[in-house]
Formats: sequence, C-alpha cells, structure tokens
Amino acid sequence: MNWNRTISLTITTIMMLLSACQKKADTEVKPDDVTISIASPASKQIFHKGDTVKVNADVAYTEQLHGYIVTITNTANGVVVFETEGHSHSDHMAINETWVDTLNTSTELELTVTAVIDHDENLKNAKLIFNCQP
Amino acid sequence: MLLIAGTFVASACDICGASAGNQNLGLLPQMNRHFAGIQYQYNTFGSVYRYLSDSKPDRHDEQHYRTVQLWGRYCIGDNWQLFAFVPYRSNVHISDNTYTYTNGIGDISLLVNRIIYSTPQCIDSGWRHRLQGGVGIKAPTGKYIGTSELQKSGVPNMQPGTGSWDVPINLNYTISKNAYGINVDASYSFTTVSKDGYKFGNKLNSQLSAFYHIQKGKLFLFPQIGFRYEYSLHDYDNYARRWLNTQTGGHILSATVGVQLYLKSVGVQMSYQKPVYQKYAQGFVTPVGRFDSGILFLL
Repeated sequence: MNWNRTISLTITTIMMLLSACQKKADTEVKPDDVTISIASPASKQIFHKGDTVKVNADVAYTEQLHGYIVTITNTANGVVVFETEGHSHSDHMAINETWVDTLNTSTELELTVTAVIDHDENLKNAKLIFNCQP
Repeated sequence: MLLIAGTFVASACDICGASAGNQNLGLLPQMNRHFAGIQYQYNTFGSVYRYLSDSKPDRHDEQHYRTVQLWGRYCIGDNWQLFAFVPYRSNVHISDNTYTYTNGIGDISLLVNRIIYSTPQCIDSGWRHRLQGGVGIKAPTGKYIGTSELQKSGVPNMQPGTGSWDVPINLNYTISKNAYGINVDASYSFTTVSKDGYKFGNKLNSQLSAFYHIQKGKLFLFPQIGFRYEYSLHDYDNYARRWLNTQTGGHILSATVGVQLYLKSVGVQMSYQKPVYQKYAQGFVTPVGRFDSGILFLL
C-alpha cells in the first residue's frame, strides 16, 4: 500500500472541502420591489369594542424575505396597542393575524405591515387607517 | 488491539441547535466480530432569537436533542464491515416556557468500511497501526415536514429527519504501543437538497483521542480523552435560488472524556463533550454539551 500517498490525498481532499466557497445569491436589495397587499381591514373601516380585527395581507418579493411585523398604533398618542411578527424562508408571505378591540374610547388606529427583507434593516411598510368605537 | 475508533456525520442549525443527523461510531470493539447495540445521545444548545421589531429584547431559547439509536455491525471477511443505524429522535424547543416537542423515527444510515491497513500480527515491533475508511448513505426516512410549515419558528433542524439523501465518508487512523494509543478520525458528510429546496450544510467532524488499555481478568477498560472539531457549512433555505442562511454553520472545538468497558461479549460506553471554543451560527447558537452512552453485544 502506498501509505504516504493515501494520507496526502485524504488531507488534500479535506482541505479542499473546507476551503470551498459557498455560492450565494448576490442580487441588489430593492425594497421598492416588495409588494404588500392588505386585504383586511379595509381603510376607514369601523370596529366596535369586542370585535375581532382580522389582519390579512400578502407580501411578495423577487428574492428571499426575512419576515414581517404587524403593528397597530393609536394615532393620537403613538401607543402601540398590538404588535406581532413572523419569520419567513420564502419570497412570499401570507399574513393572517387577529387583534380583539378592547378600547373604551373612539380611537383612530393605524395599521402598519412591515416586510423585513434582511438583517440589514432593509424593509418596506404599508399603512392604513381604521377606527374603533366603543 | 481490542478497539478501533471511528466517527461519522454531524449536524446543522438554524437559530437553534444541532440536528437531525448525528452519528457516532466511537471506539469499536474487536474488528472481526459482528455486534448489535443501542445508543443514547443527549445534546443541548442555547440560542438567541432576535426579534424583527426593535421594541422587543432578545429571547433566549433552549433546544434539547435526545436520540435512541439501534445500530449494528456485520463483518464481511477480514477487511469489510457494514454498519446500520436506526435512530429515534425526541427533540424539544423551549421558548418563553413553551415546550415544543418533535419526535419520530430519524433518517436511517448505512455505512460500508474497509480496513485499508492493519499491522500484521507477525510484526512484533510494539507499534501497531490501523487505517480504515468508508462511505455510506443516509436515507430520508425520518419525519420531515419541510420549511413551509415552519416559517414562523424557522427551525427545520428540530425535525427528526432532514428530508435529504446524504453521503458520509470517513477515515480514521489509530496508532498504539503497548497499552497506549492515539486515534485521529475525520468524517465528512455531503448533503443534498430536500424536496422543498432546503439544504443542510456539508459537515466535517474530526477527533483526536488518546486512550489507555487496562485489563483486569476478563474486564477490559478503556479510558480516553481528547478533542473534537466540528465544522459545518451554511445551510441553504432554497438551494436552487442560492438563498444562503448565514445564521447557520460554523466551528465547534470540544474537549472530550469517556470510558468504555468490556466484559466477555458485553460492552458499555459513556462519554461527554464540552465545547471549549465555538464560532457558530453567528453567535446566535451556543452548544452547551453532549452526553453519549450505549451498550452493545458482540455476536
């Protein structure tokens, strides 16, 4: 057996495997190319205390998305009344979240759906206003 | 020499610990006898989940991986050996006091090894060498629901199976003199793409072990100590589109300590690994330690 040759070949193979580059999609990040379609709630829609506000939205992009954030904010004082998020491994996200209206006063609320593209704070927002009445 | 060492295949991660695909041969008993046995492996990781929203602090999770595995060796002539592994995996992900369990049959593996060189018995210099290597196949027999069902949790490696056919290769060399010995072991796993496009990173698993042989009558004792180095490439969330997940893969260097004992045809093994250096998953995943044990019966 060629002892030295076997060991040399093995070490060389391992080093090649370790040093091999991994191919990676190298496309320019374009937040403006992200599309966010909010199906629910409708703009200016009115809800009453105890109602369930269904947030349904679709997010699409040409490359991989990292996740989404759904935020509902009181426009009068900036208080966030609801916030949730989801993770993604895809170029498409179907968002289905719910929030139960517990507010005791008439309130104008802003829904923000944020599509997060990557870890480098590349994102895109879509917003609409709806109202809650006791 | 009663024992010869070997290891094969490792693991992978996506903001949680290691995975569905973790085999260890360890130190093996008499080279020319069949055996069957059962192993238990317990592996723990900590991880940091960074919320997308800046308003929330990082969440600290835990992952515990338990595997009970049937395995055996069938010797074909003096130089060929066939190994088979049938794992059952039980994993739990702990997050905010919520326990998420996944369990089921894992991926079944077959491995064919050849003894490339072994010091002939007629040579009595005191030094003994053994070199063996092999190749195998890991079939996607384990439960794997794919990444589409896991978008919110983002932890495909919590599943019992990987959903892919993989090819592990291994090579190990042992040198010994009298009661002392050193084993150097290296294995590499070539992974393929699962049906939903996810690809776990290829993995290198290597180990340097020093061992000592104690014999008391019919009892053979093998204490051992050493280091293990594991290196995993990044996973691909979608290999066809080259979506590289840079929050996976990395290096782990662990100190290892273990012991094996054999009495007649029964062998018992225990070992523990403690990471001493790690650069893994961009720091979001921290291996805590790993415990292995097993019993086997020489046939």
